[in-house]
Amino acid sequence: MFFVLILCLCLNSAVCTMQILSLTSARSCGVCPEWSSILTELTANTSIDVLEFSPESNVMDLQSYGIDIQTLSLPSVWAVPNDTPPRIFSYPRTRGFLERWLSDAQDNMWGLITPLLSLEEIAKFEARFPVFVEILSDKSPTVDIAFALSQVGFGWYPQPPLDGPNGTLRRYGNNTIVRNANGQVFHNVNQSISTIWRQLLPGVLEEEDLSLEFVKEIVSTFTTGEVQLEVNGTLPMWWLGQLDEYPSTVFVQRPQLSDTPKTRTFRREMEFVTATVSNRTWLSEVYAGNVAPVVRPSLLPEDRRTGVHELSGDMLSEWIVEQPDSFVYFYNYDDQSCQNVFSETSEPVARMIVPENDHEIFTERPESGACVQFIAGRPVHVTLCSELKLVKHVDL
Amino acid sequence: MKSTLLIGTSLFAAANALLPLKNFPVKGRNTADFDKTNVANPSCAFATLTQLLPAKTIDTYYASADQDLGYIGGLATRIQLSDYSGYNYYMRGETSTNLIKGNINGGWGAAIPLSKRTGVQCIEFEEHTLSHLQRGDAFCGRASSGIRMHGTTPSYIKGGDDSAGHDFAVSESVRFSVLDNATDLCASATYMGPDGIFADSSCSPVSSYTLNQPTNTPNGISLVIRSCTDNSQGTTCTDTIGSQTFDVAIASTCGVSGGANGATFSIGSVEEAFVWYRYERPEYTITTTTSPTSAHPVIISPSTGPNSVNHWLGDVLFVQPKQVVYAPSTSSSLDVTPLYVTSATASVSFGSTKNGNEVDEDVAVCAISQGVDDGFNELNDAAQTISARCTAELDASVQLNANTLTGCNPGAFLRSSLVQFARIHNTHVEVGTNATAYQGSHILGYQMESNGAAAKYAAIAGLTGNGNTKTDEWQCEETDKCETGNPFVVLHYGEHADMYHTDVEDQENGNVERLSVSTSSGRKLFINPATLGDGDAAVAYTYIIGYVDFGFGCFQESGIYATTLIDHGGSRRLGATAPQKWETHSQMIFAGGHHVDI
Repeated sequence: MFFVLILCLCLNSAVCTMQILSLTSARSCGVCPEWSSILTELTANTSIDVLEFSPESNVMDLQSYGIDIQTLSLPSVWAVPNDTPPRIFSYPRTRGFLERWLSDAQDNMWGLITPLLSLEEIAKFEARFPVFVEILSDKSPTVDIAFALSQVGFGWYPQPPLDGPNGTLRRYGNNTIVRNANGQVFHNVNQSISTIWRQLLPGVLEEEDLSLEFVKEIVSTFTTGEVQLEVNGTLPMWWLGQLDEYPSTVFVQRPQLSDTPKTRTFRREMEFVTATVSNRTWLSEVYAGNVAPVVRPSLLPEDRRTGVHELSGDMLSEWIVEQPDSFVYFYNYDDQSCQNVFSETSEPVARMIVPENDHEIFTERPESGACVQFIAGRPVHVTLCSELKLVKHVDL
Repeated sequence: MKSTLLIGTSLFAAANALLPLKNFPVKGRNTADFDKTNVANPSCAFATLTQLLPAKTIDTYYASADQDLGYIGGLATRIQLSDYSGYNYYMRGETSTNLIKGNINGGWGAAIPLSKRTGVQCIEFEEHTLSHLQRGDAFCGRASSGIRMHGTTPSYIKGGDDSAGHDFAVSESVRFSVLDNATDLCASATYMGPDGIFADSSCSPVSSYTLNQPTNTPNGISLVIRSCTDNSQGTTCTDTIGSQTFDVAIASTCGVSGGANGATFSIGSVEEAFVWYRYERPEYTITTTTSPTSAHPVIISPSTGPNSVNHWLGDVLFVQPKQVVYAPSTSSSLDVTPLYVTSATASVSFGSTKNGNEVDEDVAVCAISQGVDDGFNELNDAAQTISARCTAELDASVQLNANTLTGCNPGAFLRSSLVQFARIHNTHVEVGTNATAYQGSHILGYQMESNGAAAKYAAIAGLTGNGNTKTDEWQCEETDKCETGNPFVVLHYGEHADMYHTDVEDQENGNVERLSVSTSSGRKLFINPATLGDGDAAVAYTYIIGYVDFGFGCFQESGIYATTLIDHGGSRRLGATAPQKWETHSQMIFAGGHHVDI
């Protein structure tokens, strides 16, 4: 478990005052009620004053703040800190980013990349964000993932250009310094931020960490797979090596629910389990398609065409044992384009309706209109049925 | 007829029997650069920018004057590099093409430990030559500092301890400041190197800084230009200390070549220098006016530029009043001139006591608090053996010439507060005081009682009456609550008053009838700022300021006595009739003091 991130909103009216202008509509904006509710919740018990406007009543009053009401969208929010011109909310429209924006506004910050122009600003930045990425470069960086991670601070510390009046500097590339939720610091050279996302979190998460919005944002942004390690106690160290090998997979340690530890992973809609956490090659075998899942999409259609062997996901393994050199094509009720292609072939052919079926032997989920050729029991060629060439042999 | 199917373009990859076909891209990843398993220093740890470059990495402050010693002031630039393990530090001046490494075996042959990558550059001005014993620890360059400038031979830069220093003659109008690059600032030897003037010595540091510097650096040279003009107030000189720029570069020893080694590098040759920090100090000026009637300078303007240095009290801190601000006459029947006030003086002096006995002031070694090792006193060379306690004393007096007044009874009063501050803010701002000479008017006098700085501090501390003190409770101005002002303790509050009557004898020659009112706080022990509490335990400075509210005038009525000049019957004094008793009156406030780095 690591520290929960908290962005502090202004609680002391003597220190900061800020007005928030909120434009919503109960009639013509479906998300407005929820948006208003979040804004009310975030500003409760703070010194932030929220003034509400709506097209049905007082939208014209926004003009007194210098806001052009001809180009408004719903919902809209502006901050008016210390009687300065209004600044419109421009972050992604999520609860996390609304909270971040309110916090930024109180610090007179109007962007997700904080320029670190003095040592005092660096100290302030590091004090404000428990988890941050400091970017050292001579040019202002573009950080797309800043718009996905509301609670991670991104700071830019400008560096001098390499060519100066007193000689050419040596600067060791573009650098990032990352401090994660456990206070660990990492240093990276010439790496995109999207490749170092795992530094933001502990290598192997605990299950309860996944309930944190901060973790959810990172996991949903950077991962497509999940490995669950059900074991009480310490994991073998070699699991840390798996982190680099599977950069799009999140590793989570969970309490052991039975007598034996388990490693569980999810791949597409298939679930794989082994009764150990000490098998170093198991995960690679799963991704190689050599491990049978405990759960696999498998369903035979009720309407089966006579003359074509219909397969479900569970039947595929047996089919390729019986027919190691064969074709399987994929279809759905709206697309049976492969049917005509294979109608005259003499090769062993089977078909599988998708997306109701899947199989671990395929590295990607089969799609309707494609077919795979098995040779010696292995899927060797995959193509669209429309691109198949039919060569006719004339018996002499 | 049979048909054979030929496969065209692959749509999705088929699984390989042994290896995951969908391997993950490694291109663009450059983990070898800082891979701990492949570096010169495998135990290195990484640091954040704040750890590498603390907010006070390079800081400038103004060392205030000491009017008693003729010390005009100085400008200190402190350089303190982080000693975070796993990194090498380099510095250079703006014009240098070389980087000097901060922790190397080289230079003068001494190994500079990681914990001492700190230096102080001092640029100082003295009205005359001070011995190293005269130079208090509060000075920019400390008691035996190597580099300073003195007024009697303004073309000289003087080596620290007079017995060991060397003088370097330069042109009359151009002076040098020096970035000390020795193992310590306090010089036992000073010499002209190929790139500048260097001091080499050993002594204890200024404040909490350890005084070591990257070796052989030529980067401290800064032109100091003096221009003087004579005017009605005396001679006004402006010393302009040129701007300076320092570059700091940091390289990780976790790199493949360990962050580079050696002493001096060309700017482009340091491997893994990934952080560059530039510090720019703007031009700084000190303007002084030396009055022909006063031996002491009056600091008019301590700084220029919005980002120059910390704002110290400057123009009010060491102003010795040379003339009295008087009120205009309110009655034509009186012929009041400024001459009726012949002097108004005030001063704050410092010393120490040991076992109840006063210690020679020249031995400026004393502790802020009881005990020899209180963790605050780093003012001296022998911190472990200090037994003397630091003291401060406020003295003030006003003298009237009764001969110039006719038809009324002259009187004067003093209120004085000796105040110790704990500096918790970057600036010396004393909130709620009016510590400037006050131009009186006919409605002033006692009506301004609550506006006087001395009375203000006494009122906040809840002190009334002569000789009261409060040493056990830090105070904040009521409305500010120390948000911007510094907490303080009133070490002494005094009230003195007297009236001229015919029974006051001529002090001089029978022709001039004088009335003198004086006050003295006596020596008061410093309060340890650590008593401020845990939350402010990091207080870096304490300083003393004396405030005196002068009041003087002439009563037309008879029957006015000293006891009625100062009392606390505010309702009477603020009423409609009481001020009218003063036919003429003035009030001014003096603030004099001294800062002490601890």
